[in-house]
Amino acid sequence: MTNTPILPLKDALRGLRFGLQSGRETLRPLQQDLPAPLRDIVQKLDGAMESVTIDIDKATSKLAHRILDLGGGSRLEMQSLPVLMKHDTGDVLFAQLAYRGLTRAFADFECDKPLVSELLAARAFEDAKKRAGIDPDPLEMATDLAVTMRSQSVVRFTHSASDKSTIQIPVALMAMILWFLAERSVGEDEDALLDVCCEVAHALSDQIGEIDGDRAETRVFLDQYAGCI
Amino acid sequence: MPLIAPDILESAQQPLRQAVRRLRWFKASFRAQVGVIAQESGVDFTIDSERLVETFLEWIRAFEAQKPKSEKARHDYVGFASGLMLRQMIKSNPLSVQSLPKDCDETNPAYFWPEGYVYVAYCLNVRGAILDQDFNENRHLSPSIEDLRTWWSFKENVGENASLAISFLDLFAGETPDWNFPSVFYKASEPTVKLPRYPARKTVTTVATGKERSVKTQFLHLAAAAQDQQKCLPRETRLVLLDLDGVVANGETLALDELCQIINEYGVAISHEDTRNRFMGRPTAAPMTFIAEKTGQICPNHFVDELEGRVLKRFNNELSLIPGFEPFLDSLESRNLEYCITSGSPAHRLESAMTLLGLKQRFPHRYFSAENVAEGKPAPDLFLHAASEIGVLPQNCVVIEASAAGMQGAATAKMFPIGFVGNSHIANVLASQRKLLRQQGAQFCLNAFSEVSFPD
Repeated sequence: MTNTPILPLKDALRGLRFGLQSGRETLRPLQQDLPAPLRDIVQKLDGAMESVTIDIDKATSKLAHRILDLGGGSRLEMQSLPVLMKHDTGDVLFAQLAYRGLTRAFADFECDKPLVSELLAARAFEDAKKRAGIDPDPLEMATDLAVTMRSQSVVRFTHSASDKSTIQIPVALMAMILWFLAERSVGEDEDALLDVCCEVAHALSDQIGEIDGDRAETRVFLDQYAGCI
Repeated sequence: MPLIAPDILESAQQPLRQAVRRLRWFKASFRAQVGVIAQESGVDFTIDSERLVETFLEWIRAFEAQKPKSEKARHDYVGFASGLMLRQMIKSNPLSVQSLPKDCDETNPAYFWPEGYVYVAYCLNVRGAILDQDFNENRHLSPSIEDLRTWWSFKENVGENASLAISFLDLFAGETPDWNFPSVFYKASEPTVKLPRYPARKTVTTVATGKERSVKTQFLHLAAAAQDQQKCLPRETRLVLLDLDGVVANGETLALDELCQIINEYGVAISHEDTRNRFMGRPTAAPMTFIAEKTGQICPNHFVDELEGRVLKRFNNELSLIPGFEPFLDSLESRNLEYCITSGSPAHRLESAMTLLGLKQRFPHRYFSAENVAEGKPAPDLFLHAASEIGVLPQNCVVIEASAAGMQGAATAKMFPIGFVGNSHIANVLASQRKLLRQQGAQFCLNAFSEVSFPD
């Protein structure tokens, strides 16, 4: 795997922020129910946590730009899976793009904000690439990633997240993988393309649910639908 | 109002036949089509995005299911695929009308059925653009595209059977529609029965009759008969699916009798054989459209009720089991094989028939109507549904059918299809019926249930 401290650091900072956000979500309802002195303390704590959350966001962003310079400026350029498979730091690029894809997918599905581990995503990519061998087949690699990222819990939610969000994890993963496999033309609007992938995955969510992480059926699914995005 | 094509059909960055199979392009082009018609007609439309995506995905599945391998069939498949698209648009109905212009002329198809008009325009425009791009072919639309009577028939018939949209699109495009099996692209497919090669045509004179007949014909007859000698169920069989009318009971005969009579009463001369060839196993919309085509008159709404009433009366008096059926069921039971009925009849007619025949006890929850599924025969839906309900895989299923539509459905479902020609009414057209069933996929044909053998 590409030797960089940024992924575990980003995961840790995001995890902390996530925990803080979850904590605030847990605290907020209490503010209405508690008597006055306690309520004031909780409100101050909520405010303090918001400040910490904002600082963490800034820190994460600064670190990302300073330590990990892969070009593309503040907006990382999308690379399709066949390109990433040949890239020296394909695992890290994949992880960042997967983060982008997954967070947008969950937003499209109107779910809670997920916690996406770039470290686990990068590991999944690297392991899939090793298993794929010298001349990897993009479809086979995509299948491996879809199955592994699901089984490795690359995406998580807090305890307070809705059931709807958790149920959508396989759907969002498929949407993201379709995005990586889709044929694109020069100057393609990647966000619009990702939205189309989300629409397809959402429309086929029952089928994705029935696939239930089965490798062979995942491959059939991707083979059938990647070409029609 | 002319069928205005949106500019996007001229400006696709890839061949149109590929572009239309990309959801991005499909959405953009459909929205563009809606836009140009809205501008021209003054109709205000809303597009349901989820239904539009559903339309596309269902169409892609249907497209891939019958896509021919042969290059020669590609041209014909363009027309068929556009019909599949129209069918799915009607089923999913992604458009809705918010408002019509004041005092609009409702005899104009664009105002009579605005949603249907857009769907037809889109499918015809894409069809024409692909034929032009790939085959340098210019389209010539039929005058029926502006005929309100045709649009009325179109709307009524696809309301009962959406697959007829495929036939109507052919009609609008100036092609000859297939009203019998519109959702089956078999025209350009290879025959499913491979007969042995025979020598060059020569004639022989039989001593007894003094008539000449072609040796080729003789060999074909013998080859077909030889193949029918081995009428054994496959070893993997776990479930036998039986059509009701024409296999289990003589209901199809009675229904076709009444249908033939009623078509003649409506002013269209048709024989029993032609009625059977055209409408056996087909939904009621098919003869209604046939009558409308031949007479120029739309069938009245009470046509269906009138036909149903007459058929039920015949059932009450004359419905009976095909000889040999019950011993056949005994044979299946003795070998621990499951069985069920899969009928294209409406549920109430099936229920009535099961009661009249005294079969309900023998088929507890084991009879399925086409009303239980999205599409009736020749689609495979009914067979797959029945197998799923009973818990048997398609590859372990045998289907026994008397109609070409049922045969086609069984073959598409990847089950083992067996034709049945033991219905006494069709004895005089046995050879042609056997040939038709083979063409649609029958592995062999039974003259009687007693011919079935079982593996050791």
